[in-house]
Amino acid sequence: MTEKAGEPYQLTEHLFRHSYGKLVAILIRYFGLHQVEVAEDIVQDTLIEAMEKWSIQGVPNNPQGWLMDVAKKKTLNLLKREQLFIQKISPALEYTRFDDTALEDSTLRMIFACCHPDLPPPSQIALALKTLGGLSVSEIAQGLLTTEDNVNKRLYRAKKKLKGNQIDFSSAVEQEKRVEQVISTLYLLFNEGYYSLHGNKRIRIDLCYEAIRLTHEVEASFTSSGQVKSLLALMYLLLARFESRVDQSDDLIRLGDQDRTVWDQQLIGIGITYLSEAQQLGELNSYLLQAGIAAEHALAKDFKSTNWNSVYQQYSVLEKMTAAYSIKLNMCIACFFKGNRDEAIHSLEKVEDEITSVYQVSYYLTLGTLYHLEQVNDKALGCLQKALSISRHELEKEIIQRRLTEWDSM
Amino acid sequence: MVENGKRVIGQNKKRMKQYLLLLKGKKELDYSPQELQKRLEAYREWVQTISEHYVTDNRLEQEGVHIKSKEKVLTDGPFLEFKEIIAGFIIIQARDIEEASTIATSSPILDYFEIIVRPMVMKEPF
Repeated sequence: MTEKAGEPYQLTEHLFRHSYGKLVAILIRYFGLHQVEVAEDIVQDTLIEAMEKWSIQGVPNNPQGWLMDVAKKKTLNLLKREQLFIQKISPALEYTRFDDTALEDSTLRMIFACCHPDLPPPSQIALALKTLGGLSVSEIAQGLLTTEDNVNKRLYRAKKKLKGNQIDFSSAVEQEKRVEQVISTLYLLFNEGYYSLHGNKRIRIDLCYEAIRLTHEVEASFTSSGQVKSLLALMYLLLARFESRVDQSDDLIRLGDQDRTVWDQQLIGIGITYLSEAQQLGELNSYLLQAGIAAEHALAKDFKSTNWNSVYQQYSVLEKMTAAYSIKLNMCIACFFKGNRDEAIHSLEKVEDEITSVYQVSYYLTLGTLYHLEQVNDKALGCLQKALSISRHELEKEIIQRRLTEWDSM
Repeated sequence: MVENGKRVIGQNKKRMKQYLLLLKGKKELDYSPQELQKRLEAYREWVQTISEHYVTDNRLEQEGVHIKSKEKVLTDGPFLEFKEIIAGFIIIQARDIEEASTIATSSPILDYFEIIVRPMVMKEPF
């Protein structure tokens, strides 16, 4: 134990939270997925004991090892009490080393369980944050901009589903197949944290880092997956702009307004490294293209000197792969800035009737901005008016209103 | 001068009295891991800041025996109302009850427990 009188032993920033996720994962492996609550209770108990003991005695030299030992002891005590389990699980646990290898493996299994396609995505995200991320219900509610009640419901549904299903982890083939679903959940998780100006900023950035941490866990076991490396690249490159980011509906077009001096060069560096590793694997996927686009922005000195040709090329391929309207909008923007202004506006005008309601606000904001840049002011204002009448978000309305006033006075 | 210094310290010590801070409240079970860690760090930082007053401290487990009389023994708690559970104690030394209260009030532990400050009767040679 470290001396009380000495400098307090510095705990790593999220030690408790990360240990929570790791320990739950390792315990669930032995209890089974139908016993998520039991595992969670034991781990919570362990952390409370740590809080109390370390308050008094100081922090042990190997905090994580201490937590593992205590969690294991508590588990064995519980199992001893529960006669039913004794013969089945206890012997296996007795000889289980709670070491790093076991940890990595268990965490990975738990990630796969949380990201199971049978669970609706909102439940997947809530479950991942709770059991793997060690976030409390109220923190999750703040991060996902919903009520605690709602989070509880999602968790309840997810756990019920887990109880009913036996998820097979044993086959490597099954895992390979599932990687794609797993990383799409992790991408969603990242986006939840990244794309919104609402909510608690500290928690939102935590969600992003949590998504990155879990993606790294997956990467450790699937080192040759181009998708995983591409996603890591994308996450780091986006995170580098976290401080200056704006709403998703408006991200690309407002890059010009962003203060590039606050972009985190170190994160950009990591992102670029993963991007080149992913490119070397030679496997084309949507994350790779998105990361490639993010890299063009990250490396450009300013908005003007962005390699818009490359951005446009990558959006074009992406648009063929996904056929999403958000991609199409961005493709038109890139087309505009690479110099084909009329073509860009024309192809936007053509799809006005097809745009689904989710993207309508973005659509009119985009088209409006392009008109504005072409100094077709009446059409620009008309688009903003439309966007304003469709928007349902207070903050978004404010932004539109502000721009409306600004353009009107020009 | 050295002698003088020693005497001053001696006098100070003589004037210091020990106080028992009793932590009263329930054991909270639903704090998030992040909150638990924050709570631990805040407490340890606080103990550093009061190091010249700090004597000892400990937490109490929840279970115990409550002996009311020879005949009446209550065991296996939590046997009292949550409100009355003593969760732990800290012993500090301070000049007077005011200083002791000020120290207690500065504790982050107040976010979770009530603190009862009681002067301890000092054992002194006759």
